[in-house]
Amino acid sequence: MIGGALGMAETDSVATPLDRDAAVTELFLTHHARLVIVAQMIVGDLATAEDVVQDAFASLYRRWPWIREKGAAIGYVHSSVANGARSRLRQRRRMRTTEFHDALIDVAPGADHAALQHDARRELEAGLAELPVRQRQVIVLRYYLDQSEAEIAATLSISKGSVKKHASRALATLGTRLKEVQ
Amino acid sequence: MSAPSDLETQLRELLNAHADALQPSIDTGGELRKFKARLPRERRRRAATLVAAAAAVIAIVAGVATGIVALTGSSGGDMSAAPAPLLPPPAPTMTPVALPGGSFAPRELNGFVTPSPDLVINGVLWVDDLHDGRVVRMDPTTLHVLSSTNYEMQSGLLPGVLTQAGNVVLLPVSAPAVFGPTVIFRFDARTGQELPGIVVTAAGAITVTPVGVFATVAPNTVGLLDVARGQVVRTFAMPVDRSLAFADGLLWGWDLRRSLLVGVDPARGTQVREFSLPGYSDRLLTALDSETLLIDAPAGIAELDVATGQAPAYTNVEVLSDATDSTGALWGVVDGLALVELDPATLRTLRSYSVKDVDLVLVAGNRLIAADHVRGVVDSFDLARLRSGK
Repeated sequence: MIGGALGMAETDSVATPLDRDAAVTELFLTHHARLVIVAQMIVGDLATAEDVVQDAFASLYRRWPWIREKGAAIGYVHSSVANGARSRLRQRRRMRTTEFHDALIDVAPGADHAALQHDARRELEAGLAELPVRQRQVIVLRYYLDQSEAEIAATLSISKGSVKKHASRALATLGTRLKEVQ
Repeated sequence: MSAPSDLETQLRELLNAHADALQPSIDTGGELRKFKARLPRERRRRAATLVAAAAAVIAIVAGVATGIVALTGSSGGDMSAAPAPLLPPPAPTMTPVALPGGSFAPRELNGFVTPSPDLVINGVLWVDDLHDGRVVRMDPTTLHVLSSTNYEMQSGLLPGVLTQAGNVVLLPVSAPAVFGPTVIFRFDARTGQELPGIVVTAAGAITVTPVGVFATVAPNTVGLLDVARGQVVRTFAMPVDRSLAFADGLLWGWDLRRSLLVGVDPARGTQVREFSLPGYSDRLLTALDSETLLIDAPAGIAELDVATGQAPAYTNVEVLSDATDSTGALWGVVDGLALVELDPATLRTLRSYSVKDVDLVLVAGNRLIAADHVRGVVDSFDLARLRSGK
């Protein structure tokens, strides 16, 4: 799991509040931005993504005394963010796919904007935005966080077989869209 | 461009470019201040839960120590695993056709986030709204809501399958392996009202057998439950992933690290049989009859006779969710895009209907219940019309 090597000592004892505050703060500072990006790629807007990450770290904080392997705790936060983002998306339900598309291309328009104008790139963005949320989760974890199939399966609490199926369906959809513009 | 490697490269570039563009808008310092402001509240909230959880775990340990001695299961010792069965030729399949007219009335959103129709009790459909922490009881034909019960669901945890055991419905909630206590929720099977849960150190898999109700209660540990009292009676070691099944008098679970399907005698807690199944994945185990499991075989599903080690049936149809109707027919959903009826003896496809984004199916009397996880909708199909094709 990404983030496992934080140099934090494993302990069998219940951490003191100070230990917990310091440890979770360190994890927050190290991983917050990357996790917000993951959540934003799934839910489509920054404010909701920040809320999802806040909730994930709050859940980690509550459970911290019970964590046996402190170094693996960030894996739990990944799960919280991926599933929390999915849940927020469902609650919102009416999110138009174009919102995600717009979010992808309009954030900080000066950065790499020229490249994003390319037809194939835009088609890929639109295709990604229209994927079912589970497929989008798998794509983001695989190609942004570089998680393995086993790690994605653990993060999303699904089987490796399901990861493969969601990934292959997503790639087939995106590949078809790209062919259409070429 | 269309080659997978090119597509994957483009995807990586796209996502990284997006991340680079988003990065300046993220205020980690400000978010950390917000986070720290809520910590006192989180400390108080957790403190109450910890006291109850610690007491329950101590009770489990004490119960095991003073009552029946915990059974420590054999790891199998020098047991040699039976090889993977030779798969028969794949059973014939069909191209999906349109649903019969009148078999299904398109419905508007019916208030779910991620519905999982899991169970029917006395004609009442039970749906767990995953991630929303809500158990809903419904009329399976009209989809009218009869009751709704909220349970405490924390971000990042995943509910398992609602399972009836006598007058109680159990819902194990799995937490990532690094965590301590989680819970097997209990509900009154007649009213849906929540009862005190069973606090355990790990949860997820559960099965009801003629010799008792067994569930994951700790990592690679299965417990016999007293569901009426909400207690763990005894425990034994057993590799389990997400599901348990009972066939040929044994409990079956996956040892994924070694690609083994393992059979354990639940009375003695000892491992007595295992199959080496490399390339098979850990779909939820389904017991089709007293000796047969439905398992996820390479490029399809297969029936495994756990008494003989033979695979009497195999199909290239990759059913992700399945349910058996009153005639014994097996209904499933393929890639979210087809509802299929399979002959349970041969796995031959008998019917195949085009659908859109169906994730889970459940048979409820004369209705086939389907959950759409994309829209968050539960649908009800007329089984008689599906069977007749008209």
